[in-house]
Amino acid sequence: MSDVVYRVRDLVVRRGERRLLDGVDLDVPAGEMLAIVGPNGAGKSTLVGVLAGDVHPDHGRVELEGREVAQWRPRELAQRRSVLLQSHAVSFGYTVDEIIAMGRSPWPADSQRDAAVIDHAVRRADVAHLRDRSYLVLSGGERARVSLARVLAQDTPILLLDEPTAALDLRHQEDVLRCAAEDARAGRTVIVVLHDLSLAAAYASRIVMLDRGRVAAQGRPRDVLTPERVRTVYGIDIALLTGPDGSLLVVPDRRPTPERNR
Amino acid sequence: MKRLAVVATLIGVLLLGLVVSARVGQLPVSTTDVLGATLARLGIASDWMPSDEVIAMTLEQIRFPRVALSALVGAALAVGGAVMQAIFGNPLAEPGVVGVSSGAALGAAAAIVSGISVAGGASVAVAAFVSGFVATVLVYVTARANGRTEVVTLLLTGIAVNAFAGAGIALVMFMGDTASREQIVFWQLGSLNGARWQEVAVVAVIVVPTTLIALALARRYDLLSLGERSASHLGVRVEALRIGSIALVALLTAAAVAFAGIISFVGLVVPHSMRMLLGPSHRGLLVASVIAGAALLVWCDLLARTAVAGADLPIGMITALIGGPFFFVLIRQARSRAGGWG
Repeated sequence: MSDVVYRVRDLVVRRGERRLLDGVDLDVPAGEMLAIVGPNGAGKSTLVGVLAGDVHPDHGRVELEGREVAQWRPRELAQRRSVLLQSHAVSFGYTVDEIIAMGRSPWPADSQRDAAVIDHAVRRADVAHLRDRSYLVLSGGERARVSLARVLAQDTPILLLDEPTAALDLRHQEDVLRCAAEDARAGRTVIVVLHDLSLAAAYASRIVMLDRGRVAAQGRPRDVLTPERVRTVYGIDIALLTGPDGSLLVVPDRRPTPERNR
Repeated sequence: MKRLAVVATLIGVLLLGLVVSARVGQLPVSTTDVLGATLARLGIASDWMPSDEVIAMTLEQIRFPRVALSALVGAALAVGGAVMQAIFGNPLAEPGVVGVSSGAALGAAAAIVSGISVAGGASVAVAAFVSGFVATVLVYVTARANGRTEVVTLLLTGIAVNAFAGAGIALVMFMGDTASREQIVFWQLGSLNGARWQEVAVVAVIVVPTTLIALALARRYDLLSLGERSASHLGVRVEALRIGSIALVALLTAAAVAFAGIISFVGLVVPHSMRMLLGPSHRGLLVASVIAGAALLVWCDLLARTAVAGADLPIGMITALIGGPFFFVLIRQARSRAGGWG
């Protein structure tokens, strides 16, 4: 068993009376690609926020490499984990190049290494043709990819991605997750929030399904994504198909109820 | 390369403004006299030293301190505006617009009327800083929600703070004697008339270090443009940066307001123009804003005291004449982007 990167025990996060997270236990070993799934409001983004160090637990422990996340200095943390948020808003009209270069700021300046890391990140996020543009004129999907490039340029062993595929077209969705999966195989730890269960099944080595702040299930995609569980958690009937590459496809079962029982 | 050209041009405009300002006035002075007196002031003897005692006195006692104060105040306002826009993530945030200037003026007015002199001439500046700080915090807390600033909320907050500070200043004036009333009236209009070396020294002591600190924070302001959470993910201590920057803005505004009164729109016009010329990266933006702010105010002050013969126009009126239309354009741009800046 490889080293545990994140160890979460009995995590509770409250907002007023509501419990956004309610007794979450989670171990994330190094080199894993973990997908967090669940319906809207299940607590996925809050969990990412806690792992990132933005949201402080009201109860329980969250350890990164054996030390509580709150004990890390911001700069050290920035050299260990990078975070891609759902919102990619930028206040002023920086060029794409400037935005991506900001990803290098946690590291001591080293122009050669910086340039190499940035070039690599730019290629992987497929934004080379945007480099001289102003960020403000980009489309939503382009902004998402530029933000991803910035996060990749941070070059950290842990990546936290909150719905990285939300604004992306089909090809770039696949690109981003393939890129994340490569990183995981290379030894990085990737924790990714996804809505598309088929994408989660295809790329994640393990899935955690949240339901109203609790862990409904965790394990290999095939064990977590059962029709019964999805019906309980999401309130929708699904069918499981097998894709041409043998991966699991999760699709809504749209047939009227009588036909299903034939 | 472009940055270098812009900065060099700005320095040229500033130096020209400094010399022309020192030359022009009721008593005309030659350029060589200006240069000679400047060198003498710096402790360098030269053949250009003005031979006429009156000219030497005029330069030394009246024009030089006034020109120096206008340059310092212009730099303070421009840097204050740029820092404020950086922490609000919004180009409409400006000490004058959101009420920090009038907040600081309220403190200064109260100090003058009550005649408190805790630290000699600096008591006005101290009072301006304290009330300016309170105003900045108030605006910040009110106008920010979920890590971003809505334009509408920001401007409404400005209206509220300005109205309150205006009422406070009116009350202070009501309680004061005639002399202090007159002084306060001129503050609200903004004027650099009667600047003295003592005041220049107080302002310089505040403006120079705060500007250097702002420059040292430039990189962090860039990261802050990504949003507070993303900035913190990159290792920025956002909370400390915010509080420190609010103190910087309050200090810079207080330095400008304490002796020169309310000079609005400099902090809006200068950083915005520099951003259009050089891009938003804060290191270049702040350096250019320092020089451009100083140059703008030196030239505006020259206009203020020469436009109408024998009269000293309030400089706040002149900057508002330039800044008002500029502000309209900015609001129109904001509106066309559906009220957002992002």
